Amino acid sequence: MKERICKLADFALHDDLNPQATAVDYDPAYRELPEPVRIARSLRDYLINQTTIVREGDLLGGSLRFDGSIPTDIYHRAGHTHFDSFWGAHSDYLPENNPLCFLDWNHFCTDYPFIVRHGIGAYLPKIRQARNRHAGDLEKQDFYTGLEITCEAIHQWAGAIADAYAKKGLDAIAANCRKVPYSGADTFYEAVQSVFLAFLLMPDALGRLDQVLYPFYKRDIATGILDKETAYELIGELFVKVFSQTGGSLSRRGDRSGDNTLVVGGYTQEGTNGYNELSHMILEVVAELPTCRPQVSFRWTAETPFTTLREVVRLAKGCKCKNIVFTNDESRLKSFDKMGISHRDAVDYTMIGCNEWTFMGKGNTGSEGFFNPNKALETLLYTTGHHADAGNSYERFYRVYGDYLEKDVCRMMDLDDEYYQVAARDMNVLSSLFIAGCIEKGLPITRGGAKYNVSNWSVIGLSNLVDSLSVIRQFVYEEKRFTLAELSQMLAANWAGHESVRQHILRHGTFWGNDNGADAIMGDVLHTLDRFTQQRFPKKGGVYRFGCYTGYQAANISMGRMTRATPDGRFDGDPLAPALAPGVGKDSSGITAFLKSAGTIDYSLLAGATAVNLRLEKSMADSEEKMEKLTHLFDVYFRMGGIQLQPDYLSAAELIHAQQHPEDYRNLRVRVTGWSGQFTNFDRAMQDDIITRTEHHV
Amino acid sequence: MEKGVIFDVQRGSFVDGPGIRTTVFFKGCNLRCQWCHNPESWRSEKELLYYQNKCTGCHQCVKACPQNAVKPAGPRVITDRSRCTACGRCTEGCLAAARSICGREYAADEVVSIVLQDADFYRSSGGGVTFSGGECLLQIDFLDRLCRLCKKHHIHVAIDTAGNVDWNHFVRILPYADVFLYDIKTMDEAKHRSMTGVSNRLILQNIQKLNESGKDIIVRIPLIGGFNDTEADISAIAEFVTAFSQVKRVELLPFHPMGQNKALALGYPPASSAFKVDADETTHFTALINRIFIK
Repeated sequence: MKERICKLADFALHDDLNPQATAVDYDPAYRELPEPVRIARSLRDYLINQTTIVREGDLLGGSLRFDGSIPTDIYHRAGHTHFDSFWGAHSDYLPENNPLCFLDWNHFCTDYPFIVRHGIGAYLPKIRQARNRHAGDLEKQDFYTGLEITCEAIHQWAGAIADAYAKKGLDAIAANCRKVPYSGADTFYEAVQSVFLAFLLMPDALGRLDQVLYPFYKRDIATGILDKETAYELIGELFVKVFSQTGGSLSRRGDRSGDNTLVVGGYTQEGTNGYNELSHMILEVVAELPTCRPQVSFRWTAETPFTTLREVVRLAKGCKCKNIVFTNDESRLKSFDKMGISHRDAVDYTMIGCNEWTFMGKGNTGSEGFFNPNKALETLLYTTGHHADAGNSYERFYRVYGDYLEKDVCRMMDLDDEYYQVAARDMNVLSSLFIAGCIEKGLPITRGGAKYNVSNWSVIGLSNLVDSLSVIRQFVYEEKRFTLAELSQMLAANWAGHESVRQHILRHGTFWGNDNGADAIMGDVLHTLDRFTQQRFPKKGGVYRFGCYTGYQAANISMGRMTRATPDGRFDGDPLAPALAPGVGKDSSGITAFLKSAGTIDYSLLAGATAVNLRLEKSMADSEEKMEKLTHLFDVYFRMGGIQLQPDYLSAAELIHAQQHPEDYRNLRVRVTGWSGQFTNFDRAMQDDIITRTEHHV
Repeated sequence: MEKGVIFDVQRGSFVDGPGIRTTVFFKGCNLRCQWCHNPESWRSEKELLYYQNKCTGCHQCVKACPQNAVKPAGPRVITDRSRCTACGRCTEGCLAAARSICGREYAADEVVSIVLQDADFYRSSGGGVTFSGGECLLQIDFLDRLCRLCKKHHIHVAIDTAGNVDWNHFVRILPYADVFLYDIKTMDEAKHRSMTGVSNRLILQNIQKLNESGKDIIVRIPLIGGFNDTEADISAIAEFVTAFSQVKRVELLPFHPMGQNKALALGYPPASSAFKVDADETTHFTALINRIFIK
């Protein structure tokens, strides 16, 4: 990596590459305008009044911060006043207050392929056409006017950036910014500039960057106007600037590694394996930079050569300050097909945020929130008289549980709709321009304008539920070791006085993650959850989907704190399982067994955001030969259908040492679930939760 | 139906032969290597493991034992192993999971069904099953049956052995074994006898015959501080095995102290910490072997 980029990265780690926002006094006359027009005009005034920092030696122009005075990018939701007001009235749905369900922060990905290829100016004829189609609808006419002003505002903003560079004699950058993102790019250099300016307007996921940029890269390398070193430098500068946009804030949310996510590899529209020279270069840049973002997912396909997978496994292992994770095209595409997504759009799926997905530039599909199915079991077991309904067979018990679960899922769906109705009062023009569907429908993204809407809910403590059901089946109904009433009493006592029974359960129970009978219970639970999503649909449009991961909120800890003792041997208040992981200490059958349990799930039933954590002891990859075996392990897992995998190479002993000597482990990154963060910055509860996860040896 | 005593079946092993493997640990061994990391493999019968460090002193085990073999001893307990029948009652009530029974009788079908679960992983990686121990060749009838069954399912079979058994035992499984992981500790007979309790003569004879049989051999040398971590010891082994055409590689297994806690749990004195070797030493002797052993 060039020294200039290293210095820039170093600077970005401690300081901001972007200027402070300049406050703008909007014309009071705007208040009389229709909402979309008012917002678009204010946006234009805001953009052209911001200062541009011009740095010697830079190849990419532009810098920007929004101040929340107008509704801007949909991810950060700055200026979305109704969204904010929802929480005042619904404090019971704040993460720290609700053990059953709460809402999450949604991620998006701009339509980069369209913007880079055709430019924002190409939206204008689309808007005109749609305007004519909806000629009688005055509200939509205003929306279209807002979109048109926004296109021009972006044009003027890029022009102002160009002027700032021209003034300092930096003509190449000036020329690029005069052209893109308003017009389509013709060179690799212009394409990267176009991506960066579009990113500044919607600073979230970066999508299939390798696929978007590759045609430009290939052509420019062939004609000789680009060399690989310059391409590497451009990608490096882009990533440092992307990192700086979100900043390096340290908090409970770690360093927000999920804020800028991109994917490499995966199928092309032609059905070939899309991993190319540029994909590899992107991974190398990511591995080399000392910044924690962007986060990368590698899209595995059945066509991915073993040697490519091995190379990525090697890069991922060596990547100190970020985690490269794996996602499986075969399982994803199958689940998207079941959702009714066209193959063309499904192929262009990308990971966003922690481990959510969307269709590049076409979806509002990020994480809607978290749901705890253990609460329904709690209601059934803890409420006097309720378990009497369950009768004398496990099948009957499970049906009764399903009824309780349905009530809780309905509450979750009610929350989803209630939230939508409030958030939909917000008008968003900027992001609506960047997500396909909004122009065609004449609806902002906040009101279901996106081509695809999916309400993605993550199940927290899924393996706790499966293991609890398995314990009930085995010990109450099959072995008749205790009755349901006795189990309820033991749980109500938080196992006090029943430790020997708890030990017996832990020793002899059939738990998920061991390639055994609990896999079938997992299947039953997923079928039940899937059935609910076939019965009711979100008000914002689209479908519900369940997944399994935890975001920045560490829902497994907060919900766990409010969930009483569970039949799987868990104590009152202990964390629930994060992501698709076995219960603590419960996957005793080894790594292949766990990968089989996780790999043979029907992911069309768990199609939402799902993360599979795998902590590997360092010795599993300490030689070429073992690296080869590890690659086979992953390859077989993906061929079985495993949807996602995020390996960490850390031992529990090392983590405990880091907990005791944080000063020596400043840069230690661990994967929490969907995202990774600096271990020493987590609070004690989260550190302990991570330490107790199973570690696999050879 | 032939049954065998097995003390562990480990899926997903990277270190017991080629590819990804399932390792089946047979109980019973006729060597008593003082550095052994699996001392629970020594006796062929089931036996009790008692981890004193985990014991909370609830004394449930004292009440549970039908032989009256467990007596309170201060905050912990003492077990009279001569009376213990390894029935396992005391483990059931143990609140701290400090007591467990090591070893269980398995039917051959039961072992094979576990082995078959990872067939996909073997196929992809060139792996299979490894029969280890203890000394798997001591339970030869059971091993023979397992090997036949595995071959019927086209599973690659590795035999991990110390080699101190009658050659006829090898002969019975030769048709089914694909590779042997063969341990050699030292060429010095007196030293061998003093540290393992037996002579190495039979071991060295058997590897010669094994070489003539044409089966692939991977030689494994435990590297033990103060025992064989000398130029003389290691080069003597390397030179000895270089003469055998079937020895495909030589691996060093540096001492690791994992067996110490298990030895205590079995009531044995733990292996001496003086057996430890550092990483530099391991690298040095690996290089030495690579200089001598050239294929």
